[in-house]
Amino acid sequence: MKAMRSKAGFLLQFACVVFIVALVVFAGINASNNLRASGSAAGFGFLAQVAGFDIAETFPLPWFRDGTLTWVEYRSEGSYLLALATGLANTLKVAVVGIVLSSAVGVLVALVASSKDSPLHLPAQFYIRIVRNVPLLLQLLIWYVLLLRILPEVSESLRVGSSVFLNNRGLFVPGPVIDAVGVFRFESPELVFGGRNIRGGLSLSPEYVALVTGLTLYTGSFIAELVRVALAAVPSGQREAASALGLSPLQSFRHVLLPQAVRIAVPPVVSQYLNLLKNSSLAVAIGYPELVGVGGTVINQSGQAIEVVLLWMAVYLFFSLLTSWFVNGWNARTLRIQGAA
Amino acid sequence: MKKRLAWILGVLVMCVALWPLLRWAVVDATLFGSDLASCQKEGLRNAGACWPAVTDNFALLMGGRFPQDRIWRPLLVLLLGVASLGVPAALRLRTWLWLALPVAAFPIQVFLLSGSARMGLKGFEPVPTELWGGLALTWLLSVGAILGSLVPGLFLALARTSSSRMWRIFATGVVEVVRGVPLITLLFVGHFLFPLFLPREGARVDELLRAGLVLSLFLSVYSAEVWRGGLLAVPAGQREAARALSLSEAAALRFVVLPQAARTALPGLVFTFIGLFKDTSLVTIIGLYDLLGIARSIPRNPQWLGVELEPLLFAAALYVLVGMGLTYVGRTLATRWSYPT
Repeated sequence: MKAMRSKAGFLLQFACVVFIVALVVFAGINASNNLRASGSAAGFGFLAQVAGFDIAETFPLPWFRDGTLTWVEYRSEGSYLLALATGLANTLKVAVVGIVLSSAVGVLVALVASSKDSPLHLPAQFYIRIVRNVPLLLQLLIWYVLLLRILPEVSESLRVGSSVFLNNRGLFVPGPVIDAVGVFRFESPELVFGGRNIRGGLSLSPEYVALVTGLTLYTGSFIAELVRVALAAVPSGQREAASALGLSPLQSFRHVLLPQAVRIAVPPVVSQYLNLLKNSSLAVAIGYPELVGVGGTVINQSGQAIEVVLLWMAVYLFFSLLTSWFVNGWNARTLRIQGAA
Repeated sequence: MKKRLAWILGVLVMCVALWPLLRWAVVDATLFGSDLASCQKEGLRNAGACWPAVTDNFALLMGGRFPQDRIWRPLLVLLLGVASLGVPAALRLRTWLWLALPVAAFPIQVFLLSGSARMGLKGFEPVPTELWGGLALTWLLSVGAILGSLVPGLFLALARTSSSRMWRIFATGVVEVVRGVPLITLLFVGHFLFPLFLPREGARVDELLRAGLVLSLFLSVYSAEVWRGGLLAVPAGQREAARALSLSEAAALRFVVLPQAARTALPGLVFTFIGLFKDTSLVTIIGLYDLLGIARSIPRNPQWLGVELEPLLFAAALYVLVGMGLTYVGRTLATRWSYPT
């Protein structure tokens, strides 16, 4: 009886495998026919060809040129591969800054909103409700339109100190720039032509500023909720015990509450970081050239849709695996600490 | 007392913080009118919002670019949608009707939009899917994706917790890949790649249907994780006891394991579904005219050139409104179905 059932189960599995393989083969044959008809060659060879389009926001990347490692910045005569690498660099530029800022926003909102006696409780709740219920894509578009509308002309730039400028051409901050011979220099932006133009330093486009603002506020609202829950999850006896031992409220927060809350909050917060990285792909809608945006242009130019989509997936899956590897390691470590205690 | 004071202060803080928005949206705004000229004074846009861009395009935002003489069809679709959700909640009908009515309404809604040539009714002529849009399309995509994900979601969860290694590997692979990449890359797969995998002659799958399939796949994978949590929460003894009572494997699953898993999983499923309602806005990027797509297209209309912010904010308010309504229904449903505590 049992043998028969397992035989039936085996047959079912076998049939499914055959079906899936048949489907893949069918799709593959169609794809190769379609590709042949459109005259494009499958494979990743196209990556070495000249891209020929401009990317609004480029970044010096370490790159092999003529067998030596140098700093190369993408220009339209660069290869498709360099274009996609620039897109990836732009994605990471958003992700890194967004992760730092959204953590700050999240922790800050969680702290000011955790007590119902705080006058900021209501505004914080309002912020969390609204931001979570509006699609992120829509928020990004609103920020972009809003920024372009309210930011002033170059000559009327908003300034922080003497070297940070914000105007309708973007955010200008001191930063590393690369000169013609490939040497890094640290430079501050300055107004030239009687304040009608701006030169030097690191320039960040309005698209970038809108994207980072939107992603930060969106992810920040999720992080705030996670941090609040983690703080609430530390047993109240811990705080009482700390104050009974004579620790000040600040000391008990710093040495007793925070370490335990962090242990609870880190895995979900890290997966929010991953979400932020994935969500940065929505930048394609406001024209910020990150990985998906550049990839879309590459697809339109070269017609190599399959390869580009595979590259996208490989990159995002890499970060996803990295995250789950980290979270698993973290969980194992916390379990070990708790086991030892 | 302290709490009330904090509340009053909170309201004050919000009023101060939101005052510029309020001034723009209400005080300085043009509320009525029929074209851009009503928002202008001496050829210049006035400082406030131009709401006629929303009110004049209301039918467009609701029903998309549907032919004007048949616009009642998408409006009826929306009415049906609201009724199918609202009536069971308002009349406190039996729980299964809360799910059954929206499900039953779906084919009627699709039929209403697609129309039929054979019936010969005036105003009921077929309308191609390219002209479907607005909130009606957002609604249909959401409900369609939910319906399409019910069976695959449960199947993936069962496969992932199955004792057969092959099923586990298959399901884990699908779930991890789909969860690891941004939704927009999956939509691009449907947009660019899916046609490549079909035979060259004859076969053509509608763009809208492709987007719906991708959203279903996306939702299946996320709901599979919720289902898996529910399945894992059922103690192993339950299945073993059912088997010991000589129920077959399928009967044990059907009558013992699944009912318990469903109760645990339901709240999570409902909130995953509500999240999808926001995520449907991404179809804008592949060129569909859902609510967000329509809101973005209004300022491209010469008549409303440059009125960008108002339609976007209106769309955001609609998303919040519908999202809050769905959350209310979902929460009531979830408490009704969860275990009495």
